[in-house]
Amino acid sequence: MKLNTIPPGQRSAFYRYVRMTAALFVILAIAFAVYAWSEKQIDRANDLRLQSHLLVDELRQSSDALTRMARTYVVTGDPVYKTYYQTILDIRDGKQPRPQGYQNIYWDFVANGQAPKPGGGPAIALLELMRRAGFTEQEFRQLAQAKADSDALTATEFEAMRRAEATGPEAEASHALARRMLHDGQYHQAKAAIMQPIYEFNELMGKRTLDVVRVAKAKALILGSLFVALGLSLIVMVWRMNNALCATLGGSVDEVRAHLARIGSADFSSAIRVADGRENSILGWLAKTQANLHQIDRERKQAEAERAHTSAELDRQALAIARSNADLQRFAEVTAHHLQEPVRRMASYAERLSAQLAGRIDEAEAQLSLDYIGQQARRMKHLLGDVERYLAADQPRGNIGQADANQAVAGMLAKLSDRIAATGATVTVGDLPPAWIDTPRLDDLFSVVLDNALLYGIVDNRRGRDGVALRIGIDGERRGEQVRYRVSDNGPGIKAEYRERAFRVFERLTSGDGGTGIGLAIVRRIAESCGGRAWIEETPGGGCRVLFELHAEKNH
Amino acid sequence: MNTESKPFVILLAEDEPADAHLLEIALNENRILANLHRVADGREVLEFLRRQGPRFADSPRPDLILLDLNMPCMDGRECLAELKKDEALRDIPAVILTTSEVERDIVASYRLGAAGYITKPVDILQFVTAIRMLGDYWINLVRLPQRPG
Repeated sequence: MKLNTIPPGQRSAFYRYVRMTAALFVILAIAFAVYAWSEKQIDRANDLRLQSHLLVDELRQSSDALTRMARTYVVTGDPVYKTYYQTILDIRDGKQPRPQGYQNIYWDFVANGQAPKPGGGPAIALLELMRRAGFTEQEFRQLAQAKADSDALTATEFEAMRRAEATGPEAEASHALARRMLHDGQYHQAKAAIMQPIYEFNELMGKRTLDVVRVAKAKALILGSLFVALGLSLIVMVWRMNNALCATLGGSVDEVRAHLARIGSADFSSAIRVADGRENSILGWLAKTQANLHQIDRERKQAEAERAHTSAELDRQALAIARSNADLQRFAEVTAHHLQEPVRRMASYAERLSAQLAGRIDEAEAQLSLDYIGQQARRMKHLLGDVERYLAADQPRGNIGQADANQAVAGMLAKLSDRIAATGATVTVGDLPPAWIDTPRLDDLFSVVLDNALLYGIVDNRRGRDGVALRIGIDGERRGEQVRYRVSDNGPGIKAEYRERAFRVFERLTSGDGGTGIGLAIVRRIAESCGGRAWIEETPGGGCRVLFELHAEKNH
Repeated sequence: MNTESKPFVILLAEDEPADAHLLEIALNENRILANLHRVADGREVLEFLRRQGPRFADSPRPDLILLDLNMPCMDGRECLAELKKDEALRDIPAVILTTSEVERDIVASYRLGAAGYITKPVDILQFVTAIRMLGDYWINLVRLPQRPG
């Protein structure tokens, strides 16, 4: 199945929105910082405005306070007021530090008898403070003028205070003059002259600082609007990002999560429904995957069922074959047994006839025929006996256990001692490991193979190949779980192409030797029924070597 | 047609002496004057025809070969196949003479180039008759290729 995948290098809309949202957020943060700064600018403008008013107020207050202290001294003659007068001047000229709360109401309370507060701020002249306050040149000139006028008036006030201190005959007139100096029209005129520039300054400064505040406010409004707009854009972007995510997923995150959890727990049964036009989404692909998995799962279960069915069928067939085999085996056994009977009688009667007619048959031809009858009957008996042995070869005769091969070979050699002596053969036996088999069949194995070696190892005149006496070697070795036995002779051997045929039933490779051609077939049947095998090789240096393998121990 | 100077030569391949004797009896009963040679298996047939080994150094070329099917070592079928592969020997007629009545054996034998297929009857009289007919056909009726020597 082909999935519509996003080409490499092309990101989904979701990622584009994520990037845009992040950028927008950064812009929003910057906008907020600028907005906050602009709000602060308004505050600073207002501060400046307030500061300016306070400075001007101090100038006016100090002027009024000087007037009040001078007048009070002239009238009362109390020297404390003269001291206050001087202090006011010193603070204004930066010769003494400003007491705390000096810009608030101060001298009214001191005049009323309250102790003057100690100096708080630094000793700075009022003009210097004004210069620092960032006034325009025009504004500063107005204030400096007012200050100069006020300083000029102090000369009048000092003169008045000096006259008030006069003693002697002229004292009364001098005191009156002093009082007049501080109350006459000229004094008031000078006072108004001081206030005039202050008035103009207030006008100028008020207008200017108000403008600054207004501009700052306008800027803050614009920046605030921008911030709000950006915030709204961010909300829109987040909303679109969510839409893009839903489009990519093909459903809500919860939906996709639930489907994945179901597939993860190997539940493919419930199909995933995808909205039209959303096939090309994660949920769409998930639906296809789920459908595929469902199909595969179904096929797997079907295959499993078929396999189970096939297995049962095979079991049934194996049973049928086993039964059929058992039937055939029984049939062969019964047949061989029943054929034995007439053959035995035939042999018996032929022998009896030979005995009865012994010396009375003149014709050689008749004697030959009679001999052939007896001979063929005995042969038939042997063949049937071999068939019975062959049929029985796959069944144990006695308990299967660890059979001693040395003992089996020794027994066989004892039985065959006459024939061994007759052939003049020498037999060497190595140490033979035990095999897992019943003893009678292990005896059979060595019996057949030794018999063959004695029969076919010699060629003629009791001599082996090239006139050398027959030598038979028997050895064995453990090979993993198997034990292998080898019976080798130095006889003429068997050509490679005839070696397999030697194991066929009734197959003979030579004629007139008295064999029936069943021996090696029995050897193979015994070995294979015990999970082993049997075959022929050439003895190194020439000759026939028969090998058979059996299990060495029970666990197999 | 038999020639006066050269007697009819039959090569019998038969591992069982009793069966070989039966053929001798049948030939005698029918007064068929044939030169009968016997070998025990297919390998010996080829050695006889090719005059291999001291035993077969002077063996004559037979006019007819009678082959048993079941013999040790090289059986009748293998022997027949070998004969028909050999350019020098393929023109010698080979007739199967066997106990087997299995159809498969009959078909296989003709496929391999057998000139005939005779089953040995159990009844000796029938066997004698069969050999007489065989003699009439191969010795008297059929003209075989002339042989040198």
